[in-house]
Amino acid sequence: MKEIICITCPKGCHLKVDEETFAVTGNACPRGAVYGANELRSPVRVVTSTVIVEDAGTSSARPQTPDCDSRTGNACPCKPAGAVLARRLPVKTDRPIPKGKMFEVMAEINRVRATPPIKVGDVLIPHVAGTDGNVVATKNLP
Amino acid sequence: MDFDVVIIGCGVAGADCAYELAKYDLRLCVLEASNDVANGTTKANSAIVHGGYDPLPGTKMARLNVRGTAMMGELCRKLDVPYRNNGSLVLSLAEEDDETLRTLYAQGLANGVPGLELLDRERTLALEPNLSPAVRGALFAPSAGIVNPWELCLALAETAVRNGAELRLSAPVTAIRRTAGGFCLSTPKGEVTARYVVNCAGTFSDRIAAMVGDRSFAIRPTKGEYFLLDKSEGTRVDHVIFQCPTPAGKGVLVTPTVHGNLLVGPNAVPTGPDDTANTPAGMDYVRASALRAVPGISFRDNIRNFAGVRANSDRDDFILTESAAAPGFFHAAGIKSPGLSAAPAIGPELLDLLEGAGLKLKKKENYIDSRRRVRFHELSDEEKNALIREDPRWGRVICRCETVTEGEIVACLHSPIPPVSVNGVKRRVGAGMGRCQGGFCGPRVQEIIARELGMDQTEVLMDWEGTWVLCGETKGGSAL
Amino acid sequence: MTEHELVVIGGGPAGLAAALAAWEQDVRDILILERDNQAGGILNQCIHNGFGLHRFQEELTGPEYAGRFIDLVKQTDIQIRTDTMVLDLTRDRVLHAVSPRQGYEAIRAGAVILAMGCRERTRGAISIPGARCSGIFTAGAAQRFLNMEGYMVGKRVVILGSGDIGLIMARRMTLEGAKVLACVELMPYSGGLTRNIVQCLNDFDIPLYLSHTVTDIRGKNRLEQVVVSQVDGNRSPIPGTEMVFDCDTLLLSVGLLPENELSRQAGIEIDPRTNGPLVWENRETDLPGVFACGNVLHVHDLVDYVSAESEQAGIAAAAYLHGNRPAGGEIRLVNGTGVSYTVPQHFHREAETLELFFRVRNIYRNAAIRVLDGDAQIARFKREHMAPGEMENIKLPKVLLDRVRGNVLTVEIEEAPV
Repeated sequence: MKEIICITCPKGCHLKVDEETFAVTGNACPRGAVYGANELRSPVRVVTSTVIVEDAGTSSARPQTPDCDSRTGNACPCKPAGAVLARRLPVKTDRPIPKGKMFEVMAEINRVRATPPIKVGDVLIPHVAGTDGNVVATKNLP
Repeated sequence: MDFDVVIIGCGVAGADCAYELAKYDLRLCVLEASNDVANGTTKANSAIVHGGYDPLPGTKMARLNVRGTAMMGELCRKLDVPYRNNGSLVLSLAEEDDETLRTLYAQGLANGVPGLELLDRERTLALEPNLSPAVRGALFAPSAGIVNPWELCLALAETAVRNGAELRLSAPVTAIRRTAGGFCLSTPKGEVTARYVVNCAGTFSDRIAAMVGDRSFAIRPTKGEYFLLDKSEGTRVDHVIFQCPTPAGKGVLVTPTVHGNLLVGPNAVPTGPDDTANTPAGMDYVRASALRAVPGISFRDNIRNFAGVRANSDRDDFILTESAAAPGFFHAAGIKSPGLSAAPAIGPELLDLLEGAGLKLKKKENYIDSRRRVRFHELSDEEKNALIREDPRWGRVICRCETVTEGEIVACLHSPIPPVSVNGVKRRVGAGMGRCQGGFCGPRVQEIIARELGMDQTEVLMDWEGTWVLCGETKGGSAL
Repeated sequence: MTEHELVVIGGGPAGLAAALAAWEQDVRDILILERDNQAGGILNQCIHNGFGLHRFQEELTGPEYAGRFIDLVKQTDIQIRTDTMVLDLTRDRVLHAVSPRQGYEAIRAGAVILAMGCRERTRGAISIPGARCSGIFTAGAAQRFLNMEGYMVGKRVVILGSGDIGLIMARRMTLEGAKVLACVELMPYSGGLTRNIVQCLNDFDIPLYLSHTVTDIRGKNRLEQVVVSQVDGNRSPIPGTEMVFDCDTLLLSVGLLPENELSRQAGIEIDPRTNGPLVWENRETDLPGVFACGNVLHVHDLVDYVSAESEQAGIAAAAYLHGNRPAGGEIRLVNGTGVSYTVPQHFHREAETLELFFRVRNIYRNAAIRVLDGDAQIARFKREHMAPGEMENIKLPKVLLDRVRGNVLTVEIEEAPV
């Protein structure tokens, strides 16, 4: 028997799942039974991280953006202090990947470089770590 | 000889010596162990300018306290250091305190403290309505005040540097040798020779003295712990509020700061020379003691605790003298409370001692005796706009809590004594001093330091050597 | 002095949603003032997923959630002015702001929406004893370094506080190669969402110590050790229970505080329980024409609720600008047993459906929320599970409100019989 906490809703039922039959007890609703069985059979997670932006430079040598667009909230031209040309691009796997592959996925994410322009949803790594998930951008990088 | 005079230590005492000596045609050097000035006792104390009724009449402490306090207003005006002459009250909270107040009053008169008054309960409460209803009366010292101690030190040191003094940071003195007609001091950055040496090494001054074979005194470092409360508590009292002193010290005080916060502390516990840790017992004691005098203090609004180490010694007085063991070697040691108040008078005192020992003093012709620092939030709308038009960075607020702009941070990074750490910037312009304690502005200040000083952001320290902030980049390295 | 119909202070999720809602109500002159160099607020550094399940029926990351609102704003004539810090707000709705491009300026607003968000409680706020070494970060500051600037703050980490940001950072630091040794929580229950306990701690075998706290911080320069002790029922450390962790980093996730310095300057009444303005059901403060929404009003758990609340404020600001004022006398809401605050704190008798947000003081199982008009119960809502870390909400329909006789409603928790 494996004990896990159900995360389907905020209640947090303490489930007991049989490792062979995947039978679930301790669940207050049917969704708990499904979660419990899946969590033991093939647990999956979405991985979110960042990737290095090519040519963003270090903070001391950051180029200044030539123009600004007040409506989109993009950078202002005058010697900015904040992370204007972002050094990192946020990314995620576009679907949950097997939990056991999280660190493998991270290793691939750490190797890849993003080159602007990039749009939300652009694929940076297809079929990451041999899964059916792709690593995609979660922010626009003009 | 490289220098006529070398000062060891750039706390407020060393800085005032440098400031006074730099008025003369001398080759002058200040050696500071830390990577910034004001980084020991000077940055962590009550920030009080005492009236001068505490020290026993006839002591150097009594004389220099009253003199230093009298000089403080003009000095701070000249060097643009935040100072407020808000006066102090010593409270009587029990019958036996009445006698103590009378003793302090008599001492104050003997020491020449101006304007002292014994107040009855009504007048005390009229001045400070938030005091405990148990208050019976108070000793009022109108000459007392509050000051920004690290900015005072910085201003003195900057002025000395602008007038030609050489400041070497991260240069702890590790050994001292007598040479023909002077001394040779070893530091990790090389040797320095000088005819005269002034020991202003604070809690380490006995160790420095021992390097020339002088074991005539010992420092007994004594820790004091504090609470610094949000500006929402800053008007809880208007004067510096003391309770009656005990043999351990002047007790826990409650005071506004020149920045508008409320400062509460300290206790007094023997410790090592650089132990600035806070303890549960110390904080509990300070909290409970302060509430006896000012019951309404909301400690929920605390924004920071800190501890400072007083350079108490085994003597009852400041040690301001030429070393008997090493002629030409002078001490400004054991500068305990009221050391900050006395600081403006310590430099002139040392100057007299050095002159008496044969140092030739010739006034400099073009001595710069002024300093200005632009504080954006204090400017008028027109002045703000003029600055921003000139350099847009003055319009970018980096520290939201204290309204410190990028312009101020950049200016301090190119000042006579540029900071090399996040806290160094904080001590100069106040960024990170507010209620969020640098949570928002810390990363941006780091970035500006790296950019302006041409270093990698991972090299920027929180404060003294070894206080690294970042251990590297994510993804295993640089994007370059 | 320039003039604008509606000025929104803050371009995070609250400000963006409020401005969009006002735009949809035909307010055409809207200015958002944002202090950072881009819109999106704290969502820009919250790169994890779990946002938008209510609002968009899909799981988005923080930047994606913010991006959707920014894209919507781009389709309007709403102006966002970044790098702009509001320094002062007067009672007659004049804002004083400063920015590199506009300099120091005064702006008169027909209506103002406060959407400044919140800040993290610091080491000082909870007076953690110990050395003054480096290596102690609020979780949010570390998150900014890690996710936006691309820097690691340390390699061996202890986290104090089991709020969601702390839990999220436990996972982020682990995935980036750091070793997270423990998450330490003062209370006997976690302050974060259960899914985060599972996915951020349990997934990586990071122990959670409930009823524990940090009792000492050691390190001459950089943090070297933290001491963790168990606490008793009064949250006092129990001597003899100390555990020492060798670590270089301590992250603090010990609570959030609404940032109401501007509101206080304007003399707006603040509820000491929420640390946010006291508001009517339309999120109007006691200063007419000034509204508040999002984390500046009260700290939320879910950005989806921030958006919903901010839309209400935007709609109300538009109504104010169009001359429509809520009708009816005041009915106050009182916190009964087990309730630590409610938002709104009062409402107009003629209000349409009243949606009430609040937090409970304890963990409850099989309990009920009761709404009382004097002694008479007018509504009762069963709940299988309630916790202080999870904001509750109930809806009181107009038919119910119409029956209220008194001018005070009490909200309380009825515990299940043991």
